[in-house]
Amino acid sequence: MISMGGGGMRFVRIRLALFLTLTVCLVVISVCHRPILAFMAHWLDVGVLPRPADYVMVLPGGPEQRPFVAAAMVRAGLAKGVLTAETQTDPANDEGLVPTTDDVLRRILMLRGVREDQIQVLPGHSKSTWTDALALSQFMREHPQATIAIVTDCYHTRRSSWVFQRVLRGDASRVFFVSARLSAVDPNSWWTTEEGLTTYLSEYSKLFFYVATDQTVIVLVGGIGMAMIVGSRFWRKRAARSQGSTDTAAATLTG
Amino acid sequence: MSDIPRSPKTGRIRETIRRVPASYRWCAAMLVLMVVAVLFGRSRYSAQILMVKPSHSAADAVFVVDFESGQCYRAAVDSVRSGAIDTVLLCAETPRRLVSIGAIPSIEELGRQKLLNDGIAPDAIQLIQGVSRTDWETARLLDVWLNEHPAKQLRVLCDSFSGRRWSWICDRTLAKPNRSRVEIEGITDPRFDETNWWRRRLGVKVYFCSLFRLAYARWHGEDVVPDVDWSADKYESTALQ
Repeated sequence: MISMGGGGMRFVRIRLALFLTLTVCLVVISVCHRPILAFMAHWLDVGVLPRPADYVMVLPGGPEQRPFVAAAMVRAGLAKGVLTAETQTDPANDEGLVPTTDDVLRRILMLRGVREDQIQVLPGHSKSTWTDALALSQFMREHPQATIAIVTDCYHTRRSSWVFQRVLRGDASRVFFVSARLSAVDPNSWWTTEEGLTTYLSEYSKLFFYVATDQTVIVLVGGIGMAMIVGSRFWRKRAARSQGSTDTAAATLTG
Repeated sequence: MSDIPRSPKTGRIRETIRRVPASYRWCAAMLVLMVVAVLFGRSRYSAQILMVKPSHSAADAVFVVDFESGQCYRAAVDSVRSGAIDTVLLCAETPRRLVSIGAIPSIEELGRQKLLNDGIAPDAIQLIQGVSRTDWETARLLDVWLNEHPAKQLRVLCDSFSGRRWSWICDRTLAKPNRSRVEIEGITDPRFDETNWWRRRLGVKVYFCSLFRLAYARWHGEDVVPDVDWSADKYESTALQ
């Protein structure tokens, strides 16, 4: 008969546990993938209902949704002006193929009833959410009492909020996020359309990248990892010591 | 040294190897996997799964998939100017909110105006009959055009990382005789290519978007298009609730 040592049995037990966990996960995912995926979409949305603020800032991008929400807020008297971040042009803009993001945004806002003097472009040649936040931080230093509603696509609010909190620090309490609902993608069935799948998977990839490259997160994860390694070594040594003393006691008794 | 237990067959030090904890072996395996993944990601093969090899066959007409992409437009204009191509095809898209309110012109109008400004003769610009909402519908409209022009060879210009996806769509939507008359050509973005896409934020963004879109096309097939009301008034009326 083949006998197994304590280490071998433990290894078999770990493998069995891993296999069972994986099987349970697969069953849960296959049975409840709809609520899980819908939850993933709703988790990204941390926007609140529009409420009064001094300014409403439209983050560049999402031109089919974001500026319309900002224009509606201004028309409803919830904000006195619109802020946008100046964006970097790309070769298609330089070629004259498509108008620049800034031009399109300004045009939409004016077509939807926002006066030109109510629109303020924050300088900075923004190219990411991070640089949008930097542009706003400068404005907030110059306007220390101003409150700002930031309008962005619903799936983008969690990452934006995370970035703005890191950039604005103490001033972050003066901003809040308003979600612009997507017209062509339903968060409850985003995985069924190509646009939805690309939008949400890209957003999760970006969120992962932003979080993974954050210094605080790196230090925290590194610290937890080190603590786990040290803890497991300590636990293993202790287990070996107690096993040794049990064997000695058993040998003494037998002898 | 003689008290170290060895394998009776090979004479190797067996117990020493067994003493390496399983968790360490798992960590090492994961590390090796990660290194392989990073090396693969940074190799040109990771991007080549999205690309098609150009056949450089002759064509009579050119269709620009993404008109907003500068490099595809420039390649189309250069082909017409050099006399290699005599027709540029444009396809109308279902107008979304920005076009409906007049913030931007429709893509076919924008393209037509730009081509005329760049000195392309009006009779070289042809608008395909019909309106498309997805690339699959565009491919079907191209199929109709190919049926109407049985002697013409068509070149479809798209960005280099969309080549495989467009090839897949054409394989599934075009009639077989028509498919052999269509060449997909991926035009490389001047800012990044398959050897350095991970070095630029835009390259990473385009790579992953293209990967997700190809995956959707291959596993799901034709895109599902929901009925969307693009009215600006209706959108704004619900935006504040």
